Amino acid sequence: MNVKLPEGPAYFSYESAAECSPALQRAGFDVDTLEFKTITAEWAVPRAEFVFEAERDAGVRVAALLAAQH
Amino acid sequence: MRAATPRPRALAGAAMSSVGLAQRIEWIESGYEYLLAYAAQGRRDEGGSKFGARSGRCSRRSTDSAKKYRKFRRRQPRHGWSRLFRGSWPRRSHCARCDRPDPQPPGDSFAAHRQPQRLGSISSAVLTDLFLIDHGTESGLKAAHLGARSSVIERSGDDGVNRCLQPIRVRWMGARGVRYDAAWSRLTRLFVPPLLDALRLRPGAWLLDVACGPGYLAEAARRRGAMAIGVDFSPTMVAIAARSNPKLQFHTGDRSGTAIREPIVRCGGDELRRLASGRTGACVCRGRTCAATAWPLCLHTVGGPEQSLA
Repeated sequence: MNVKLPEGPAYFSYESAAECSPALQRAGFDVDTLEFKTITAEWAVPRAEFVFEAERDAGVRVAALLAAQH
Repeated sequence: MRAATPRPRALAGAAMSSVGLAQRIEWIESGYEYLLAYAAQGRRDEGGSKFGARSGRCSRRSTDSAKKYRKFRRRQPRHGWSRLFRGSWPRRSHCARCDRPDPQPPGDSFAAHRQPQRLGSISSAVLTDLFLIDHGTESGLKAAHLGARSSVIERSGDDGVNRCLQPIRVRWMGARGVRYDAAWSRLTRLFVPPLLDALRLRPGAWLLDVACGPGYLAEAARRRGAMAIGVDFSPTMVAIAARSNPKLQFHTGDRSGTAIREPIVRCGGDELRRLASGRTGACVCRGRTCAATAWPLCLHTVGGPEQSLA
């Protein structure tokens, strides 16, 4: 489908401190008290299809998106 | 596809998409049968349905509800979509279909948030953007897929609209809550210990877990000796959490804009957006330790190197 649309907000916005910190500061948080940590974890899934099936059958927003394209 | 669908009123100020309304409604019907059932529920609130009683909290749904609804719509074409989605959302203590008890415990302190929510003038133009409305988390790519403008995304991030659509989100999670728990618990539990470490949670501290889901973090907090209270918009999630952790308090509702007593607050990923938007942060988290997760783009590795396709 070819729909001309303006750029939307990033799906993973606030993932970086540089983006999240100013937003929280504008919301009234003290920027000096903010801490950001990146946690890396390994998710062992039983098979390759599991990730897609989890999004499709057990997710909320992504499941709706996939359903809309069905 | 219905050929004679009345054109609804658009939300004030919201631009209609260049995609035809009938096409967008067709997308809804193809994927979101629950919306049809919800529309039938709203219709019944206005003067009686042809389907018999339903509860807004029950996750069980008649498999042919969508078919019944289409038949009902054909018989009564004078009712437009915008009117169908008006009306209050009733709260009952039991489901009339399966007679399940209401998972909400009586006498809870969040009763104010359980009042029937009037949908007001939300039109189908907004309802088609249902999943863009969820705190504006969707990308421009998704907006293109669903035929919505980014301006609609921004505007529909308003808390008032979110509250209006909360019953629909509750329905969606009601049907998927158990599967969500089974599919995502292993992943989300990985981030619970670092989150509690970030909160510097000590024994005896009070923790409010906003958007608690199945209650993983509250459970872990209790194991550390803290006192945890969980709140989630989904009764299904709250029921799962309460069943898994009978010694903890879980409530259905929303703590936005309310005074809280717990000195430590943990927010689910979507709540971070609400905090950063300034709508809930100042009143909820002032003077309190608050932690939230923001999921970055990451790669999922399946199997070890020996199983790599490369």
